[in-house]
Order: sequence, then C-alpha cells, then structure tokens
Amino acid sequence: MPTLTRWTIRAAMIYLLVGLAAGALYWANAQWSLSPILSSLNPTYIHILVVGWLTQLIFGVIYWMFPIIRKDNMRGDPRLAWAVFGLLNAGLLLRIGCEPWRSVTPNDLNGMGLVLSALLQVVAGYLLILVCWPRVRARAGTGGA
Amino acid sequence: MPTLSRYFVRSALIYLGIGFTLGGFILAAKGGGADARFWLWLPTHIVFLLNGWLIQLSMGVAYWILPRIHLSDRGRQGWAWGGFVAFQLGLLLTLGTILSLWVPEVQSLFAPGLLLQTLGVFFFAIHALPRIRPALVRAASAP
Repeated sequence: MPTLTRWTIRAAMIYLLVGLAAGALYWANAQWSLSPILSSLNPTYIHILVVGWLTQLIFGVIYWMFPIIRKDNMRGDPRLAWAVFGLLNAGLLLRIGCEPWRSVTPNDLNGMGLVLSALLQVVAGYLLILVCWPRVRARAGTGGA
Repeated sequence: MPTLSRYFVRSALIYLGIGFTLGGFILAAKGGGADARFWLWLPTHIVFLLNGWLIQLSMGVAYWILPRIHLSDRGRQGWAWGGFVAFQLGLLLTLGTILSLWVPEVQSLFAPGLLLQTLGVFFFAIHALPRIRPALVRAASAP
C-alpha cells in the first residue's frame, strides 16, 4: 500500500469518527435542544462524511489499486496526488472551522475562510480527476524504462 | 478493467468535478463571495455527488470485480449497458437544471432526471444480482 494511501485512509477514518459524532450531536440537539451552537453543525457534518470520509477513502484506494500506468511510472506524478491530499484536507478543515462559526457570528474573516475553502476543495477535486483519469484503463501498462 | 467500467468510472470522475464546482460556488455564496442565487444549484450539487459520483463509481467497480458467471462472461451485459445509458440520460437532464439560474422552466427536468437514474440502477441491479455469489475458484491441479 503506497504511503499516500495510508495517509488518506487514516485521515478518512478520523473524518468518519468526527462526522458521525458531529451528526449525532446535531440530531441530539434537534431532539433535546442542548445548545444553540450544535445547530450549526449541519451541513458541515455531511461534508465531513462525504468529502473527508468517502471521497478521500475512494481516492486513496483508487491510487493504490487501479491499473498502473506503466511499470516505470506506476501511479503518475506523486506530487499531484499529495497536492490532492493537502488541498482537500486544508479546504475541508477550513470549512469545519468557518462554517459553524459563520452561522453563529457572521463576519468578514469567516466569510473569506469559506471562499478560500471552496477554492481549495474545487482545485483538489480537479487534481483528483487529473491523477485518477490515466488509471482508468483496460489493463496495467507494461512498458518498461 | 472492462469497457463499461471505464465508462462508468470516467463519467463518475466528470460528475465529481461538476459537483465540486457547483458546491464551490454555493460555499463561496455562503461566505458572501458569490451571488446568493447559486443556492439554486444545491439539489443538483447533491445529485451529482451522490448519484453521479458515488453511485456511478460503485456500479463501475461492481461491474469490474463482482464474480463472473463463467470465465470471462459477466452475463446479462445488455442490462448493464441499458443501466448505463438510462443513468447517463438521467444525469444529462439533471445537468440541464443548472440553467435554471437563467431559465427557471428547466427546473422541471429535475424529477424526470432522477427517475431515469433510478431506472438505470434498476437495470444494473438486474445485471448484477446473479453475480452476487461466492467466486468459483478452480484449483490449478484439478482434472
């Protein structure tokens, strides 16, 4: 299993736990009115699960298991793949910080944080496609150096 | 990876890109950095990431790795291809609803799009059901 895959799967597992906990808190608050701040966890918890857990896990597994490009260039440029990991997590963490904050106290700082988060995640999505696209192939490439 | 799986997975990647783009505009609007009308794209954003990305990827990988019926025969391939075509048509109708920002009438394509996607999954399930079984591995030394 490549190093990048280990990092993405570990991060995905953490997001799964955090997302489930945040969702549970959100719905517990909806039922028992625990604290107004907890009502700000939606839709953040959904994105923690869909982006942080599912999409990141899928990316890590595709990077690991889809047919290789060539024996001398198995998974393409690793810097691009690491950029996906970095940008996706930076964007998502920024969202986790700014989105609930903005729903309680809207200001320029958390507004700019959300715009930056959007930009980081969209670029990460495009790079993810760039990294995965050449791996969607009939069979593993065999060309040697 | 068989041809149909490649089509499914490539399409899934394309809809991931579109879904992220729409989501980016919506999040930027939430931050005050974009037109608030982008919120109209929320249902399309959800459908593209759940159906266009996750469900399509699942079907593509399932077609590839589920146990085969016999040797290279995946069985009922017409149903799988029919599922792909119906799903794509449904996604194209959903794609059309992006224009609802400027032409509100096209929002009426949303429900037919979802129905076609559901039909696509139904067709694919007819293909896949017989393949959900233990893999038959023949020992190399068997007569």
